[in-house]
Amino acid sequence: MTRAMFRKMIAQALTLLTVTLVVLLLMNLITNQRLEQEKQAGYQETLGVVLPAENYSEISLDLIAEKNPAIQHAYTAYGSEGIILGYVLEVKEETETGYILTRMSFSADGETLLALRVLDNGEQNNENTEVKTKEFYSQFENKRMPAALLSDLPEQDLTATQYPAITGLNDGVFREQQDNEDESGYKDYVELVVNGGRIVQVTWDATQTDGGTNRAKASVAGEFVLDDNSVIWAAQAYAMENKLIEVQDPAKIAIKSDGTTEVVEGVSVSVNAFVTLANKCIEDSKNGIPAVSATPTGAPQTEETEISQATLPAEETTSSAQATPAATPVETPAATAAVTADAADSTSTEAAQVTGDSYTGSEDGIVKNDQGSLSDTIDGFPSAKIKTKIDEAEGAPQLSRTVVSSVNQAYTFLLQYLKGES
Amino acid sequence: MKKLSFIRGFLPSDGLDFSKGRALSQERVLEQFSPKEVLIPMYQSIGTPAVPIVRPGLPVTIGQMIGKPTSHISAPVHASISGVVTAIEQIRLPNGISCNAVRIQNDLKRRTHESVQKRTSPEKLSPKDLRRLLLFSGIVGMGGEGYPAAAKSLRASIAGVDTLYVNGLQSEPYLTCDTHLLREHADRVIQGAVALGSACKVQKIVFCLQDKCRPEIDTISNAIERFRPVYPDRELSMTVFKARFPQGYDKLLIKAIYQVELRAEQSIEETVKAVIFNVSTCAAFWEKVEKNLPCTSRVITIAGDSTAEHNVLVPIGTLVSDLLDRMPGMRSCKRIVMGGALTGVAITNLNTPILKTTQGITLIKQENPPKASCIHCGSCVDACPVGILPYLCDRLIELDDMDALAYENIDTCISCGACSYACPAGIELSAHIARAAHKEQKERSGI
Amino acid sequence: MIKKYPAPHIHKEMNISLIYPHVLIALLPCAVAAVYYYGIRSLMLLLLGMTSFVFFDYLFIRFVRRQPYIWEASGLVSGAVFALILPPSVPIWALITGVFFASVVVKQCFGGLGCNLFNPALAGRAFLSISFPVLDSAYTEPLLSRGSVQSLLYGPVDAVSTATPWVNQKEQVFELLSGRYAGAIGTTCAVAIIIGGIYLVRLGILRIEAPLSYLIVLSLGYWLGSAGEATLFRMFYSLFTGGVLFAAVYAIGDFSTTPSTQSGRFLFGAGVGILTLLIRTFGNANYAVGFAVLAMNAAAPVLDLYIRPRIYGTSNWYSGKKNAADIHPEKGEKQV
Repeated sequence: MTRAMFRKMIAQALTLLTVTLVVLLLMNLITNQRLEQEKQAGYQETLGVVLPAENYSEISLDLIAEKNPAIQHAYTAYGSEGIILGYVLEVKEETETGYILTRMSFSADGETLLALRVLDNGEQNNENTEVKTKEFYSQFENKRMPAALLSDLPEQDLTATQYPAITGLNDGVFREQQDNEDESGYKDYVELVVNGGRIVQVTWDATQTDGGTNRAKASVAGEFVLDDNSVIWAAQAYAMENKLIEVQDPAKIAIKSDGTTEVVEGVSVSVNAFVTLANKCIEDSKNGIPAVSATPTGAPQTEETEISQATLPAEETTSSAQATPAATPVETPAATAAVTADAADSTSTEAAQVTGDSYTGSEDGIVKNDQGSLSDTIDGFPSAKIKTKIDEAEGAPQLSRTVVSSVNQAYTFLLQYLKGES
Repeated sequence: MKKLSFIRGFLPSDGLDFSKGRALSQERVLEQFSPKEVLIPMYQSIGTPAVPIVRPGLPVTIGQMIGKPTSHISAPVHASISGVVTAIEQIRLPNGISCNAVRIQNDLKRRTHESVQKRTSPEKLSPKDLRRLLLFSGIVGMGGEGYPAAAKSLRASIAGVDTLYVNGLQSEPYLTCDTHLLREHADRVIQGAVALGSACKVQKIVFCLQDKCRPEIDTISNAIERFRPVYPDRELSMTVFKARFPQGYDKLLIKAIYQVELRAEQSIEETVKAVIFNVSTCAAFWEKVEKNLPCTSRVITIAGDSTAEHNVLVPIGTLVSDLLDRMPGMRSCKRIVMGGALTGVAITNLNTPILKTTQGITLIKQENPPKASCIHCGSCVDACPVGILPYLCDRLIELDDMDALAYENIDTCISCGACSYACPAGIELSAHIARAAHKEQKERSGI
Repeated sequence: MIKKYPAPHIHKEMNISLIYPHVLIALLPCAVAAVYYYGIRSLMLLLLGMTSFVFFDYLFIRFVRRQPYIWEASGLVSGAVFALILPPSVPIWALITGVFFASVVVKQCFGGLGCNLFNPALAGRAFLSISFPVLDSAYTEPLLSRGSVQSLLYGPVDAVSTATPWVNQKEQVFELLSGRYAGAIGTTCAVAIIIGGIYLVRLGILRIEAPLSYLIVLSLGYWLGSAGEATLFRMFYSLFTGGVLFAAVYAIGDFSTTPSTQSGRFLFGAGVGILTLLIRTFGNANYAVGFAVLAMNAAAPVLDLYIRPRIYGTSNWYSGKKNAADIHPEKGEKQV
């Protein structure tokens, strides 16, 4: 083989190589386009029922799948020129006899549910027909989120009566402590967190001057006991805090001459110090004098943490909710206090398991959220936030609840996703 | 125009096509070469050699007979230059034949013999006269066959042939002497062919050309048109053949035209009533008819696989060594071949004379292909024009199985060399088979 | 002085030292398709197949035959063809075993280059198919995990296994042409094979009699055999899958394993087509083409013996037998 021949062969080899590569890439491009078109056509058929759009793209669920295992698929729906029209989600919820698959579409900001359909799941034959009726799912169309079944919402209409906040409050954390200690060696303090002009968080505790544990923690540990040992001090303080958050003005809490109050259930200790300090904090807020350290410290948090830990197994907000009829997601305020009391008893044995200071989720239906209302939650949303009420389908209350729960979970996921996106 | 071919297949692997690739040069003017001396062998034809009738020291002129024929199938030899006979020597020709040769020193005067004169009325010659002229012109088959034209025309007239074919198919690569004649001296060719036709007593004359030689086809067509009124009783026509090697072989020519395959013992004249003459033969005969000039010079092509071809008019007997400076690329070539690239003979001694049957000198630069063992690809079978299986014959030759070789019809081989050309393993199939066929023939005739 | 050589004095440019490199070049498109669809694993299989084939050739020639080894490309070609007809998840030990069988047993033991009776690559593949039939179900979908290094040793990761590569009919003819379906690594892309085939035909290395008759017989068989709708698609489907085109170009156009005459090659191709049809219809459809070719390889010498060109001057079209009396009239009748 001469050199010229060799060179010619190399040239021919390179030509063949490039020609083949080009042809292959072209053909695969065309195939990919065709597959994409077919996929979009399929989407149009299925997803287009709930949200008609130009094309859809699937959202990868890898990162958030663990926290939201109910979400099977999520799609972004695009209109012309690529603007996002909304999102389509498919949620799978377990029922007693099987599962329900729901497909729903949300607006681009995630706040409005556009349409909903309950899909065939192949296992049960006719049991889900009630929720598949048009009159059931038409209730969902174009409704703001979150939603709840009418029958699940608490009787007290929290959206109607909401105590107005004191005017002129500045946002921030405000803290006031007593100057002198009392006979037991504790110095009371009150910390207020104001957000949006409303008191959203209240802490009432007392520090020990000789460096011991705070009163709330001590009361839980049994070091600090009251005369009337039916309710520990920490629980009573807790009740006071919540009442203040509810009524927003310490003046609204009627105090008797001996310093106790009958307005708040279970509170039998003197609350004078609390009221005084709270008023001082409010003055601070009006004047804009924030506390030195923003994070609340001390035992009361851990006590509440213990309480929260004790009742955690009963409820979780964002993970898949086993909507078992036994432990209903809705709890009345009466049950709240009872649970709290139970929790307090049970946590006395768990006093040693004090862990971190931060709040973990919600416990016994009470969540420390921005609004601060003494609310109950449905699927993790406080009752005050429920914007849509759904009538349950005829003869299928559990299924309806499941569907509503799916909707709320989808909404939660979408909020997280959108927050993560931006 | 329908193209004939000896191959009846439709697939591209049929046969060898040498017309592709190189474009042939279109020289208009023929160079006339004048050597210092010539060496004219006595045995330039099939049959018996001539005997020299001159002795050293005798001055000779162009056209003077220096060797007379010795039998019916023998051709006289004439001096191709004027000068003095210097020696009569024994030489060995490239095809292995030893014979006498007359060496003449050129005096560069170009004196022609007194018999070389323009004939007054060539058309008045009778066939017998023409055959006599043929005999004394010393013309042999100048396409390489070497059969004396006189004997052939006698045989043809006895057999009663009705068609004369002028073989202008130069299917061997690189040779263009006949095509040059066809293009530049078409008149001479046609008139010579007509004269030969008269000698053989035929009316129909057909010119055979390759389809790739477009200028020659046009020239011949025009010339035929011109000469049709001159010879109103002759039928002049032209046939085009597909360019395949070795279409020029007479047996394959007949197969293409008549679809008849002749066995070895049959003759063309008797079987199909046709006679074939080469283009150079016709042109040479016209020289004899017109000017009474016998066969003293011919056109040869000097070409090679890396050089452009060059047609030269040389006197018969010119030594190859004298043509050296006419051969571009002589220093760098690997071998010098007398004749065509496929059927010629490689010469080692450059003092070889040009014969009447030499069509050209080919300079080969191509390396021998690397030799390997047979891979049973069948390329040789595709290339063979007569249908034997060269790879099988080669294997039998290795095993020295003469009976099996006879069974394989090894004697049908026409030694065209196509099988060796096509073999990817570089096996010299043609040489082995030719040797074995020769051996078998000797065996057969020896028994 | 200039040496004396016999005629002819020129030679065709194509000779053995050029033919096999050209075939390698023609295999390039298939290799490109293999690497494109199945990633570096197929590249590794290809290179390993080629080098191990040459290695086994060298060992045999050098140490068993005790001859000097001439470096040539025919081993590379056979090794490449063998690698390209394997499924992508074939284990490396299976590749080596198959190459050993193909090189030593099928090619060298029968005589080496040019003398082998069976096509070494196809015979090696048949050996694997018979001895390790589980490998026949090791086809995976293309375009998955092409670049993962782990796949070099262990086979394609996250691969979806399909039993036979041509059961899935939802591909269209376009995908059949471009090779985007599960199959052997080099035989799926019909376009690549056609490019290589045209290249070889232009060079004169591939004689089109055998592949043409093969494809025509197959097409006719499928066209006529599948009565009902979608005959055209069924025909293309059967033509473009299963290694039919690949075998047509690289196995049926091979030199030493096919007959030496044109008519013989026609019959050879037709025979392979008929056998393929039969095996695919009534037998093991996995490797029908390979076994059909091997069966006809065994028949090629018989075809050579009886299918001959007609010798000039004789009238038998099927054999140029001459009467023995013509050869040796004195000896008389001779039993041949």
